[in-house]
Amino acid sequence: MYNRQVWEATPADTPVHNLDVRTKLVLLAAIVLFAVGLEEPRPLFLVFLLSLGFHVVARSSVERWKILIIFLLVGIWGAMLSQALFYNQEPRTMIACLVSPTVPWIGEATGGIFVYREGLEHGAVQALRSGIMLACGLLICWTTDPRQLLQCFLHWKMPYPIAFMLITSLRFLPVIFEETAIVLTAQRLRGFEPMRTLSPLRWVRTAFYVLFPILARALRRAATLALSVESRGFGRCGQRAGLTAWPVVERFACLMVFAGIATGATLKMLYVLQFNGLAYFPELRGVYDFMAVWL
Amino acid sequence: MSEIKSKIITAGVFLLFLGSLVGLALHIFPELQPIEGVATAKKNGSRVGRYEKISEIPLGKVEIRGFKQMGSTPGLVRLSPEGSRLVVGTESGEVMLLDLQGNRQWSRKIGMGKISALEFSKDARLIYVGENSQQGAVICIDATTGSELWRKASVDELGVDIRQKTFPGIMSITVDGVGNAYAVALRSIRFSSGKTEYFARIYKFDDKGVVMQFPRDHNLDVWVSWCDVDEAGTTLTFGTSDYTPGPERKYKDNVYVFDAKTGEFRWSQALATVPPYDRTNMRFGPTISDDGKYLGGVSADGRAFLLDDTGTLLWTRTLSAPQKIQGVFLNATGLHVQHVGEYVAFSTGNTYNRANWQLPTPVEHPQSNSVFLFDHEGSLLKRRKLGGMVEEFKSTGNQLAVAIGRNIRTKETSIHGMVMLSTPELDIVDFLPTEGPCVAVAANATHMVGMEAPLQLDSGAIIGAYRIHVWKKIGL
Amino acid sequence: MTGIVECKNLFFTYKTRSIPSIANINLTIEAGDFILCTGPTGCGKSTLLKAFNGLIPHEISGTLRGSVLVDGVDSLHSSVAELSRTVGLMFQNPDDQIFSTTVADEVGFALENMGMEREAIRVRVSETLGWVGLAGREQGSVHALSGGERQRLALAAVLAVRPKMLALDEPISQMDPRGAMELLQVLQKLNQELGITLIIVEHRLHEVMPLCKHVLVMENGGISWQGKRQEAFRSPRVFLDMGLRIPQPVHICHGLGVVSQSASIEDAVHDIRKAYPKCDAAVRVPVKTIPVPTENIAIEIQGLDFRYDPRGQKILDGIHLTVPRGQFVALMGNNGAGKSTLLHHICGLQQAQAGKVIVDGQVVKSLDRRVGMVMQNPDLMLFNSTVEEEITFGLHHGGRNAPDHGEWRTLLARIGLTGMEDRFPLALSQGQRVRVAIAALLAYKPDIMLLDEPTTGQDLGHIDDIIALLQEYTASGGTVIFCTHDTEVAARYAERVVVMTAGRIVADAPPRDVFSDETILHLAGLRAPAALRVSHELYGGCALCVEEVVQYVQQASLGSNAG
Repeated sequence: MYNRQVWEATPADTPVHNLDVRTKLVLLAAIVLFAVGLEEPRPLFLVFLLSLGFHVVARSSVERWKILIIFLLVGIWGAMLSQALFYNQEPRTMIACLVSPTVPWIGEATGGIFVYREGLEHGAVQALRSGIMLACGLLICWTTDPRQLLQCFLHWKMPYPIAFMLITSLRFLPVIFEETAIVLTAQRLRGFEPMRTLSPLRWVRTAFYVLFPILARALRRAATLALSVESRGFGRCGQRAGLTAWPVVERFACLMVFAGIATGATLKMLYVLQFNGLAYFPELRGVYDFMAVWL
Repeated sequence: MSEIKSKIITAGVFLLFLGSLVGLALHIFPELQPIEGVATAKKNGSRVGRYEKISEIPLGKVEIRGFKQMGSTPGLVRLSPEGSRLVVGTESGEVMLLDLQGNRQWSRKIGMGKISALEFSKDARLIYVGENSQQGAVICIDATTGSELWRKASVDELGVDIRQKTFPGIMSITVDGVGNAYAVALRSIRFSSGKTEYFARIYKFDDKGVVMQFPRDHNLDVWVSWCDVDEAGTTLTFGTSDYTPGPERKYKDNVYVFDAKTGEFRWSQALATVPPYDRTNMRFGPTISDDGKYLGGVSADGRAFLLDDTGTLLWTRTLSAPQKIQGVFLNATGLHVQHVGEYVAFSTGNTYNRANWQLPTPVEHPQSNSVFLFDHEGSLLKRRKLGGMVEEFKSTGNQLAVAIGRNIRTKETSIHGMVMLSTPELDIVDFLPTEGPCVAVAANATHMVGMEAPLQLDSGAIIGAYRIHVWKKIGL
Repeated sequence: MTGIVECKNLFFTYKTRSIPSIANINLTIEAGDFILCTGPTGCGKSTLLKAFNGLIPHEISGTLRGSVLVDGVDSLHSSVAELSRTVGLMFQNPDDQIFSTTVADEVGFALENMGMEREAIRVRVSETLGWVGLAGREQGSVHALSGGERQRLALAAVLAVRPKMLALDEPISQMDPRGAMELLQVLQKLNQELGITLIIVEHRLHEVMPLCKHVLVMENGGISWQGKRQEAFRSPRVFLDMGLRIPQPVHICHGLGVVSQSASIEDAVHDIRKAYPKCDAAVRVPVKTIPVPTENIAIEIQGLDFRYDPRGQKILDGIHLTVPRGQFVALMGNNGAGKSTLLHHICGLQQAQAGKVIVDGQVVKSLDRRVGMVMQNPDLMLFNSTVEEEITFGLHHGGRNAPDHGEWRTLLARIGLTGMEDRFPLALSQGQRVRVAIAALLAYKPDIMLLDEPTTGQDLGHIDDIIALLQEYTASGGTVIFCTHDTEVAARYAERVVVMTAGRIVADAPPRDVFSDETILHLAGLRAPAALRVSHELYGGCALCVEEVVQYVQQASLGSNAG
C-alpha cells in the first residue's frame, strides 16, 4: 500500500540533513546551473555520480532509492530513445532501422524510422542533466523541512504569500499522490481497472475519474487550510523570527561555489563567443582548450 | 511469495540501473574499456602467418562514415624511431603515447583544435603535433612526460577569420636526420564566387622552436599541404595545388625547392597540365630521397614524376589516365609517393567522377587503388592492385606497408586491412585484415601498426571500430 | 456584564446564496463559559463560529448585518489576525490544518506571525504542548502522531497565542472514542483551570454535553433553544426532534418520563429507581454463544498473518474467522488493531504472508469482485459527474448483475436523494456523499459488503437510513462487515461483534456478551454503551439500546418481567 512517508521530508542526523537550508538551496542552484551549462558527458557523469553520492550520505532508505532509480531509469532511457529516434542533426549514424522507408504508409510518410547513435549519445547527455536535477531536487525535498524552506525563502525576500504557497504545495504533493493511489484503488473496488487497457479513450476517462475526487478534496483542504492559517495570523506584517544564523563555513563555501559558477559561466560565454566567430582572444587559448575538453 | 516477488523486482530495478550506469560510464570513458590483450588478439591471425597481433587499442568515438561521404576518417599514427612506442592522434583531439602492447604511457587533449599532423623527432625525444584551429599551432611535446615544451602559432603569419571560420592549420610535419622538424601551415578561403585564396608557410624548428620560415617574409599564395626534406637537412621541397588558378598567383609552379639550411630559394618547376585538367595539383608530394638526389611526385590527375636535385624532370609516367565512359569523365587520383631504396613507389586512389566526386561511375578505373613501383630510370617494375583505397603507405627500407581503406565503387569489405609488400616484386608478404577500413599505417622492420575506422554499409550496418592494431613479426 | 463575544442582530448571507445562513443571532458568551452548539446539518453553526474570529466578514465573501463584538472590539473594525488573538478557531480535520512537518513548527507558526523572538517562541511552544498532553514532542514528526494527537496538535497551534476563547468546529466528529475523550479532557482542563472560554460545535452530544455548561441549539440559521446543561437534559425532545444523539441515560429517562439532571449513569439510575421502584428484578439473559457455522459460509479466514515490514510487528496475527451469509458483523477495536487491514485482505487488496481468505468457497488471491468495500473517506470513491452515473457505474464496469429497470431509482429513494440524480456527487454534504458511496456499491450487488467507519460524522437519522439499507441487503443474503468505534451503533444493529486488538481477535460474540465483558472492552479501548451500563446498574441487565431499557423498566413496573 502507498507509503506517504517515503515522499515526505523526515528528520535525521546526517551531514546532508544538518546542512543549513540556505546552503542546500545554493548548492542545488549551483549544481543545476553547472549541469545546464555543461556539454561534455564526462563531467556531467561525474556530477551525476556526485548527486547520487549525496543520497548515500543522506542515508536515503531503500524505498527512496527505488523511487529515485525508477525516475532516473525512465529519464535516462526515455531521453536516449526519444533522441535516438528523432535526432536530426548531422552527422548521424544509423545503428538500427525500426521502420524501413519502403513500408507502406508509415514508412513512406516518415521516410523511415531509425535509431541514431549520435541521438543516443545526445540523449544520454540530456538524461544526465535531468538526472542530476532530479536527484538533487528529491534530496532537498527528502531532507529539508518545508518550514525551513519557507523561512529561507523569506530570508531571501521572497513575498511571504508566494513562499508559503510554494512550500505548502510541496508539502501536500505526497498527500495528493497518496490520495491518487486511494482513488485508483477505489476504482478497482468498483470493478474499473484503469491500468489494464490500451484504449486511449479509457485512459482519458480514467484521468477525469481520478481528477474529480482529487480536485474536490484538494479544494476542500485548501479552503480549510486557508481559513486555519488566516486564523493564525497568516501574512501579518511584522518582523518574523528568522532562521538560525547561517554558519560561516557554509556561507563561505556557498560563496566559493557561486564564484566558481560565475567563473564557469564567464568562460562558457567566452567559449561560445569564439565558437560563433564573434570574439577570440589568443591569450585565452588555454582557457578555450580547457573548456573544450572538460566543459 | 509476494514478499519474495517484491524483493526480486527491487533487485531487478537496482541491477538495471547499475547496468545502465556502467554502460553509460564505459561509453563516456572509453579508457575504462579493457585493452584486448594477447589472448584475444591471437585469434586474429594474419593471412600468411608472418605476423601476429599483439594488441588492439580502442580510440573512443569517431563519426562513422559510409561509402557516399568524401574522404576517409583521418588517421595519424607514428612509430617512434627506436621502434618501441607509438603515438596516435585521434579525431577527438587526443594525443596518446602507447607501448607496443597498447599500454598508455600518457595522453593529452589538444583542446579546441583538431589534430592534423603528427611526427616524432629523429631522436624520439620530442613529438610534434600540428593542429587546425584559430591559431593553427605546432605543439612540441616531451615524448617521455607528455608535457608541452613550446608551441608556434601559424596565425601570426597566415591570419584568421573567426567569423567565416577560415582557420590556419598544420597540414603536415616532417623531420630530417639532424634534429630539425618542418611543418606546412595553410589557410584557405573559398569565396561564394568560387574563387579561392590561400596563405601558406613552411616552418623549420629545432628542439627550442622556430629557426626559419619558408618564404622568410611573405606567404605562399597557393595550396601547400606537404613538404619533405632530405636526411641531411639541406634540401626542402614542397608541391603546390591551386583549384582556381589565375594570373595573379605568384607561386605558379608545381614543385619548389629551398635550401633548408639558409632558407634561400633554389629552383621551381612547372609541370605540364593534361586535359581535361587545367592545372597540375600535388597534395602529397613531392618526396625527396634520403640522399637528396631525387624528387618523386605524383599529381592528382594520375601522373608520376621524377626530378633530380637540379630540378630537371627526368621522366613523367601516367599511372592513371582520365577516361570518358558513357559520357562520364572518370579517373583514379594520384595519391602518395615514397622512395624505397633505389625505387620509387606511387599509389592511386579510388575511381572518381571528374564532374562531381559524389556521383557514381559506370565502371571502376583499371588503374585505381594500386601501387606502382618504378626504378629511377622510369621503368615500371611492378604494379599491384589492392582492391581498396591506398590510404597511406610507408617504406620500412625494403618493404612497403600499405593501409587499405574503402573501395567506394565495389564496396568490397574483405579488402580492408594492412598489407606488407616486398620490393621490387610488390608481392604480398602478408595481409593483416581489419573489419573496417584501415586509414593509417606505421611500420618498421619488426612491427606494423594500423588504425582502423568504423564504416557504415549501405544496409545501415556498421562494421569495424575506431582502434589501433599492433602486429609483430613472428619469430622475434 | 460584557461578554467575551457579543452578537447583536447578526445576519450573514454568503455571496452565492440568497437566504441568510445565520439570521437574527443575539448571543452573549461570558468569559469562562463552556458552550455546546448543536443543530442539524446546515443550520449555521460553523458560520457562526467564523464570525467570532473575523473570518466573516474579512475573508469570506457575503453580506453581514448586525455586529459582533469580540472582547469589546467590533469585528468589522479589526482584522482576522487581531481577532484571532482573542478567539482561536479550530476545524474538524487536523490533516487539513497541519502543514508543518514538526510539532514545534506547527505550534510556533502563529507566534512567528506575531513577530515573537525565537527563544520566546520556544518557551511558549513547550508550555502549550504541555497543556495538550504532547510535552517533549517538539522535534517529533507530525506524521508520527496518532489521529487524536494530531487534533491536539491542531489545538495547540491555536492555543499558542493564548486566546481568551476557543471556537471548535466539530473537533471530535472524526475521532475514535479514546482520542475524543483525550481531547475533551484537555478542553475541560483548559476551561476549568485556565479559564479559557470554549464554544464547541458538535453532533456527538452524548460525549460533549456532560462536560459543557451551556447548550445552544440552532435551526435554520437562528437560535432555537439555549440554556444551561441541566436544562438541556430536561429538554431532550428539543434534540431528538432534530435527529441529534443525546446521551443514552438522558434518552432513557426521557423515554421513561423521568426528568434527568445529568447524563451520568448513576444519576439516571437513581432517578429511574425513584420513579420505578420495581425495576430492579435481576433477570439474567443467558449468555449466547455463537456456533461456528459449517454451511452457507460467506467468508472464511484461516490463520491469517500479515506485516508491512518484514522486520516489523504483525499487523494481523493468526486471524481465524468464519462469517455465514447474511450476517451483520461489527468489527471493533482501538486504532492500530488491524481492522482496516483485515478488510483489505477480505476484498483482496492485500495478500497475507501466511494463511488464506476464502470467499464463497474460493481463495482470494487478488481483488475480488464479489466483495464491495466502502472506504473511510468516501470522497475518494466518488468520481462520476452525477449521482445517477455514480450509482450505475459499477453495473457498466464489471458489475455482475444487470439492474432491473428503475432499480437504481429505488435505491436512490432509499438513501433519500430522490431529485438529486443530476447533482455532482462531490458537491453534496458529507452525509449525502457517504450514502451515495454505499448506494453505488449496493447497486451492483456484491455478495459481501465491507464498510470502514460508515457512520462517523452522521446524525442519527442518517445512521438509521444507512443501517436500514444494509439490513435489507443482509436480508436478501448479503453479508456485511462494518468497522466502527461507535459501541452504541454496534450494539443496536450488529448481530455479532468481533473485537480486535494488536492484530488479534480477542472477542467474537453477540453484542450483549461482548459489551458485558469489561476486560475485553478495556483491552480494546472501548466503552460499553451507556444503555447497557444503565441496564446493568438498574436491573443487572445488558440492554443494547435505549428502547430495550425503557421497555424493560416499563414492563418490570407492570410486573411482566417476572420469570
